[in-house]
Amino acid sequence: MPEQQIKQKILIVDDNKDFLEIFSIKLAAVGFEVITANSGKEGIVKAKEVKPDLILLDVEMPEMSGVETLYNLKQDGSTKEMKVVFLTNYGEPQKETSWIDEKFAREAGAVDYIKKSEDLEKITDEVRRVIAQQQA
Amino acid sequence: MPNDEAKNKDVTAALYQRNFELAIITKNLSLLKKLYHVSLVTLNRDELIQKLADTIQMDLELSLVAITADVQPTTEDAKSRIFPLMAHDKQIGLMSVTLNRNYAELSEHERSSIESTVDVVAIALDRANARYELEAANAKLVVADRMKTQFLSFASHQVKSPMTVVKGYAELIMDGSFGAVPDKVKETAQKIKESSNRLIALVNNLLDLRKLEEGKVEYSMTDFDIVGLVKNIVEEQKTVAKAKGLELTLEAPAELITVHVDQEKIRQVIQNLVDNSIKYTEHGYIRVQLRMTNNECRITVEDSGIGIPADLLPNLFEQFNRGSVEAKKIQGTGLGLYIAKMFMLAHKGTIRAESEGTGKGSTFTMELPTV
Repeated sequence: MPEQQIKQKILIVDDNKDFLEIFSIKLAAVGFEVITANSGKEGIVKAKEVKPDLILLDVEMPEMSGVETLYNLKQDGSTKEMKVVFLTNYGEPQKETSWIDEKFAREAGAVDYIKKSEDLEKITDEVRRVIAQQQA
Repeated sequence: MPNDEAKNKDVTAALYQRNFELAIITKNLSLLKKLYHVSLVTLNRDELIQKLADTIQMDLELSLVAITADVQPTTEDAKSRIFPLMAHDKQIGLMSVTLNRNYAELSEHERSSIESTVDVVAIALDRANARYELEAANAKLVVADRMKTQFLSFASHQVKSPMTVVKGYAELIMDGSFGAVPDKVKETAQKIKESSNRLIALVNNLLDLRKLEEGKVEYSMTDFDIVGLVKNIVEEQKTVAKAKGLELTLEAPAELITVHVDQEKIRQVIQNLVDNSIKYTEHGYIRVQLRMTNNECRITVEDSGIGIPADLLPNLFEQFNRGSVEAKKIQGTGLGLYIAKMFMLAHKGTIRAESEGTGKGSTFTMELPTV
């Protein structure tokens, strides 16, 4: 089989195009196939289309927030099993906006948090760790 | 009580219809006018002052007192008389009293009754004014404080995302994602990354501080092994220490030590101590030690850095204490140790600093109860 077909697919959903670029360059460089979406709505469409192994979902987005997006993914039979990790600005749940906390995020069905401000090496390690965990 | 009743009679005897009109001179010299209906009969002097003061204060707050330009005692007729209300030798209002007879026909006793009533009203008005001003000033402070907090939070959020983007691109340049780069460019990108990290840390500290001030810090306590955590932190910092030519070592027991803490907070405290040691040490070593003593787990971070002058030690864990002129040359927020102390207190732990003085290194010790 050609190597590309066994690449794991990661969908990144973020309203900030710079973050999309930074994370996709880095994750592609370490061997993932990266798909990006610029909003929650687009994220849901792409999730159905490409069936990613992991979704990195920005928490704070205008119009449809990360939490709402996740809720919508969970409501749909074709996407509800997908693994989602929140991308957060502050990492610690209590530093997030008041309407979201870790407990809520877990109840909403996200598997983990990744701090956007971490070093990119650490972020790729986290992504690898989460994917390995999901497969175990 | 007979005495009180006698006093009440004195106060009220001259007041026909048991009501009177007040014109209050406000701070900006406008005049507020209102007809008051206060039952004077059932109250003694102190209660009357209290009740009047309450009523007037409420009116001032609700602006129920109508502004009038026409309160000069020009309309005085035989059956009503206007008195100045005095406080601290200043006229703070006018009071018009309606009488059942011409003022000239009143007895000496009745006139002095009216005067004592006017005094009571003046005291009440003065008290109401003072309380109103105090409360207005307090309300302003509360609003100012809330605005400060909101601004801090807003600014922090606005700064953090762009800084993280700057850092991300710097990292991509460094690792050659946009093509091979000369060493000088790599070094420059590294500097951009480090500065971004400092700014991000500052924003995180400000956000922590805000949460602490508002009492909104939440602790999610779990049992976990602190040896693994400390190992992890030291491992992560080794590259930074090495880049500065410093030796970073860890001495820890082989077995697990379980603590019941908010892992993220304790990580932040330990990381802060290690970061500080690296920051404030130019030559030599940073030794991290983890030990069990009785029912406590003790972590020490010892360095051969610039040390702490004796006079600064007592206030080291307060907000915005940046130590000596030497220390001020090194970037930092002066918030980290304060936040560390607050987090340790919340865990029923302790944190302290020791130093022989400038140039003689520092030792920071934190203790946590174990499970």
